[in-house]
Amino acid sequence: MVDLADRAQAHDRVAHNRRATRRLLLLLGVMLVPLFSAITVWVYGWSRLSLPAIAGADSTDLFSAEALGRSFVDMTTLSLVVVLIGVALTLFAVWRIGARRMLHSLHVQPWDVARYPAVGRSLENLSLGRGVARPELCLIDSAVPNALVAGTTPADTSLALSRGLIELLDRRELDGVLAHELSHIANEDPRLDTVVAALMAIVGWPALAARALVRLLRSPNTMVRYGSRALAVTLGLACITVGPLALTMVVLSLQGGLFLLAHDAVTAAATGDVLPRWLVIVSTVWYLHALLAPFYIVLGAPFIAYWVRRAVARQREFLADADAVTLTRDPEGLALALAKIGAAAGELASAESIAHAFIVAPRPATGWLDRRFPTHPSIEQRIEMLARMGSGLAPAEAIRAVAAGRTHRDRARRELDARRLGPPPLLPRAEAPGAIPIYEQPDGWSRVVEHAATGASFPCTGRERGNFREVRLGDGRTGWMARVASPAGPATASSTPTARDEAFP
Amino acid sequence: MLTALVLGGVAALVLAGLAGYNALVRSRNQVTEAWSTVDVQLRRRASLLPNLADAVGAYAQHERESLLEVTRARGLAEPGAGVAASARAGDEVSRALGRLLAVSERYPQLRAAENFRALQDQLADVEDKVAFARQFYNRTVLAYNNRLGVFPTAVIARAFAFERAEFYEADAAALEEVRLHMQRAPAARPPT
Repeated sequence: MVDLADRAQAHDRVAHNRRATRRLLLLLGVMLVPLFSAITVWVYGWSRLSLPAIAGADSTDLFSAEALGRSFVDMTTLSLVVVLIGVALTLFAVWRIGARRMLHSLHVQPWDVARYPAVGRSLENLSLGRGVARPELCLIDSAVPNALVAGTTPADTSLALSRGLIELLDRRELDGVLAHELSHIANEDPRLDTVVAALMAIVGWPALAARALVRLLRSPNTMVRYGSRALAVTLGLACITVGPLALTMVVLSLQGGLFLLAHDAVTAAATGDVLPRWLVIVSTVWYLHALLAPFYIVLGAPFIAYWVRRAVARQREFLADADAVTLTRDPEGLALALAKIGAAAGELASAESIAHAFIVAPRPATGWLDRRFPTHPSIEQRIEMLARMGSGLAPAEAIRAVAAGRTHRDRARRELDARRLGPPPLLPRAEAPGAIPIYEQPDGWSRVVEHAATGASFPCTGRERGNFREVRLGDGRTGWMARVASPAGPATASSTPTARDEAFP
Repeated sequence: MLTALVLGGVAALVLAGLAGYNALVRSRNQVTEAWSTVDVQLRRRASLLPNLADAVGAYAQHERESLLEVTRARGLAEPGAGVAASARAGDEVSRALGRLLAVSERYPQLRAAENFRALQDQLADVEDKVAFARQFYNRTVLAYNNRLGVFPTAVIARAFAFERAEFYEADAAALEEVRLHMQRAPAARPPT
C-alpha cells in the first residue's frame, strides 16, 4: 500500500510526462545542430579554399572581414537547408517502412469478431471516450500476453492484441490495457516514435551500421530471421559508405578547419586588417567544432540519441498509463493487468526495433546497454505509480494477479512443449488406414476377421487375454481386438477386471 | 531600425492574435463535435425505451402506468435542444429505465426471455457509450473553458465574444439505479 500523502493526480502526471518528453526532444534537436553545422563547414570550407585556388584567384581577399562575415551567414543558411533536407528524407524513409513492417514481422492475423465479441465492444466504447477513431484490431497468435499499436496517423492505426492477453485478463483489466493503447494513439505516439526513430537514424548512422555489422558477423541467421531485404541493402550501403565517409570527414575538417584558423591569424597580422572580435571568436569556435565533430559523431551522438530514444519511450509509457486512468477512472484495473502480464512474461518473437511499441517489453533485456536503458519502465514502477493515482492496490489482489499470471505462463509453456515434441505416440497401427483389425485369436498375427472403422464400438463379451479383449461382431461372430484400440463404450464398462488389472490399478 | 522593430512587434502581435483566435475556433468546434457524439448516444439510448417497454408489456399488462411514463420520457429529447435540456431529458430517460428494470425484476420469465436479454445487452452497451461520450465531451469543454480563461487568449475571447461551454452533468442517482438493476440481471454482460 502506498501512503496517501504522496498520491498523484492523473492529470498532473499527464502534464509532467508531456513536459519531460518535450525536454527530451529539445535535447535531441540541440544534439543534431553540431552534426549538421559540421557537415556544412566541411563542405563549405573545402569549396571556398579549393575552388578559387583551382580558378587561380588570389586567396588573400577571401579572408577579409567582409568576406568572412558573409561566409558565416552563408554557412548558417546552408546548414539549415541541409538539416531540413536530411530530416525530411529520413522521415520519409522511416515513414514508408515503419508501420507496415512492424505488424508484418509479428505475423498478425485478422480479427475474428465472433470469437471475442466483448473486446470489440469495449474498444469501441473506450474510443468514444478518448475521442479517436476505433483502430483496426488484429490478433497476434501467441500465448504470451502483450499488445501494441502501429500506424502513422490516428485515423490509420492498428491495434494488435495477443491471444494470451485476451485469455489471461478479465474485462476490467483488458479495458485498462485498451485504454492504455488508445492513449498512445491519442497522444500520437506512433508518429512521435517515427520522428524520433528518424532523427536517431540520422545521428546514429555510423553506430547503427557498426552494430548491424557486428550482429551479422556473429550470427548469419539474423538476416534470415528478421527476413528483410531492406536490412541487407542497408547493411551493404552502410559498409560501403560509412568508412570512406568518416575518413573524408576527418581529412576535410583538418584541411578546412585548421587551415582557415591559421590563415585568419596570419592574414590579419600581415595586412593590419583588424577583424571584429566577435567574428574571430565565432569563427574559432566554428572551426574547432568542425574539427571535433567526427569524434562526436562516431562516439557521442549515437549514444546520446540511444539514451534519448529510450528515455522518450519510457516517458510515453508512463504518459499512456496516466492517460488511461483519466479515461477508465480505474487505476487498479490497469495495475492488475500489468501485474498479470508481468508475471506471465515470456518472449514474443519480434524485431528488436519495435520492442518499445508494446505495452510491456516483449523480451528480457540483454546486454549492458539494454539493461541500463530499458525500453519500458519496470512493471513495479508502473504499478506503484498507478497505485498512487488511485487509492492504493490491495496486496491480496496483487498476489492473486501474479499467481494467475504464473499459472498462465506455466500452462502456455506446457502447451508449447507439447507442440514441440509432437503429438502423443500413435496407437497400434491399423493394417488398412483408419481401420482397426479384429483377429480370430488373441495374438495379433492370426487371421483378421474384420476391419473396424476407427471410433466404432463393439459390445464386449467380457473375456480378456493379455493385451486383447474379445468383442462381439454384428453377425454373431466374435473376434479379438487390441485393448488399447478397443474404444470406450459399453464394452469397456462391462468387462471384468483381470488379474493383471488388479496388479496395476 | 526603430521603425523595423515596431513593425516587427506589431506583426508578431497580429500573428499571435490570429493563432489564438484560430485555436479558440478549433476548440469550440471540438466541443460541438464532442456534443454531437453524446447526443447520438443519448438518442440511441432513448430509442431502446419503447422496445424495452414492449418486452415488459408482453409479460406485465397491468403495469400500464410505468409504460406510459416511459413513452413520455422518450418524447422529451428534442433534437438540438442544448446541453442543459438534453441532460434533463437524459435524466428522465434514466429514471424511466430504472423504473422499467425495477418492474422487470418482478417477472423472472421476462428476465429469462431471449429478446429481453438481448435488449439488456444493448442497454448495457449504450450506457457505457453514453458514459464515455459524456466524459470526452466534458474533457473537451474543460480544455475549451481553460483556453477562454487563461491570459493571452482570454483577451481575444472577450473581444470576439466566445462563450463558455456547459458541462454535461447527468443525474448520478438515476444512472446508479439503472446500473444496479442491470448488475442484478442475469448475463447482462457476457464474460470476456
